[in-house]
Amino acid sequence: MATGRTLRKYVYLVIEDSGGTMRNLVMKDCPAIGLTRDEVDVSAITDTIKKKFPGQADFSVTINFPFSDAAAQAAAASGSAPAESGSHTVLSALDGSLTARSFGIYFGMQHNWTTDDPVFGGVDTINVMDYTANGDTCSAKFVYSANAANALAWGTAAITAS
Amino acid sequence: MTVGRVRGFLDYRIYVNGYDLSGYSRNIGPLSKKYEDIVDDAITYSTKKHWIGQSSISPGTLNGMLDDTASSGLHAVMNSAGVTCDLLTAIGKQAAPADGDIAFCGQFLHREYLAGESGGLGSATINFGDGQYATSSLDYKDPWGRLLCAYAAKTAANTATGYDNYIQASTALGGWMMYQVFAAAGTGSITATLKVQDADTNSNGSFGDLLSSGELSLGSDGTFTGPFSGVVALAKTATVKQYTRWQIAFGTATSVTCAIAFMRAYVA
Repeated sequence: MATGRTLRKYVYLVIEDSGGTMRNLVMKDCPAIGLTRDEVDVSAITDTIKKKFPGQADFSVTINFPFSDAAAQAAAASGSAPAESGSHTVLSALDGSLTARSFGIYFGMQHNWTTDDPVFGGVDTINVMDYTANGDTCSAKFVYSANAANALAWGTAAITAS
Repeated sequence: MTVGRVRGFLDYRIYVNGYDLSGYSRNIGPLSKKYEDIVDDAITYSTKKHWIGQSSISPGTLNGMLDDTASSGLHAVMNSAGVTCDLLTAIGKQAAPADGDIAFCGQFLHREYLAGESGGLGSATINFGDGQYATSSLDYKDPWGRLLCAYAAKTAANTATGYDNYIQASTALGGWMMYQVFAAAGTGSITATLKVQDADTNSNGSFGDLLSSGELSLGSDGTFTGPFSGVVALAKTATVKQYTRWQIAFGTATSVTCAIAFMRAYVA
């Protein structure tokens, strides 16, 4: 396993489809991934410098994909290139469902993602909404589900289906 | 049918109320289904949670050429805004749409028709509403479906196999069909019935009727009087078998030029 810096060509998305199988989706860009957090300003006017507390976290990200109806493929194993499933094939059947799905963004470090490389996601955590197509691109919004069974977090292990 | 990535608008075809507007169109979109994103931020939650609320669907904006060709030009067909329109967007992959490709359909509000210029060419912009036309009887938030019958003149019943769906299983949430009839030939009132059929196994003899337009009278004294378009919906708890295909029962029609799409509901 390499450590250090990496390139976007080693980043891909893994999601549990409507049938409960993990699929790889390839992205058109690499959005900023992670929990955002409210900033609670508890400053008093007499403070020399403003004082802040962390507030509630949030996760909501829109990701662009090549618009494709390729057949669904089993997710790649550790060390293998992503096995691309069609974005339309997977996302159009998940759009609007309130069932929390497993989700991860895999960051391979200078190679195809391997166990111990960074992963952001969680088991049974995500809902998909706002599936949209425009020309050769489609997009969907991924949000932390009201029915999530687990927290979203950084880790180094593959995300599994529920 | 090829599966895989879409090249862009080169692979799109646009049909409205039985008219093929593809030759007058530059692009359309974004083709969207949006939801209210309702944030659940109880003070006991370390991370905010999201509920999916009411949906709205929209084909966005159709950008095309200002063309007043009699009867079929974009200007002739679309210059009366403020009405409902049956829109079928067919999307091929690295080719013109074929049977089994992607479709985006709905009964939308044709909100605005605006003429101007773009790149020196007289242009027309059609803005569709964000939602379904208010008087539409459709109660489905599922604009994405499968183009079972790509634009073609059909002269015989379908004996081919059908198409699997994205979850490769039957569903029990209903669905709906859209048909567009561009031309027809035959005798008398030129009757035909357009259908969607489904089957558990993908063989010709296994298919049975799922949805039907009912018998359409497409002409008078052997002359086509269309174009025509329409939608037919299943109950929202109806079972749809794994495979679907198009079918036409020819009455006095000898040829029907049409497109048929079926939108299967995957999410309640």
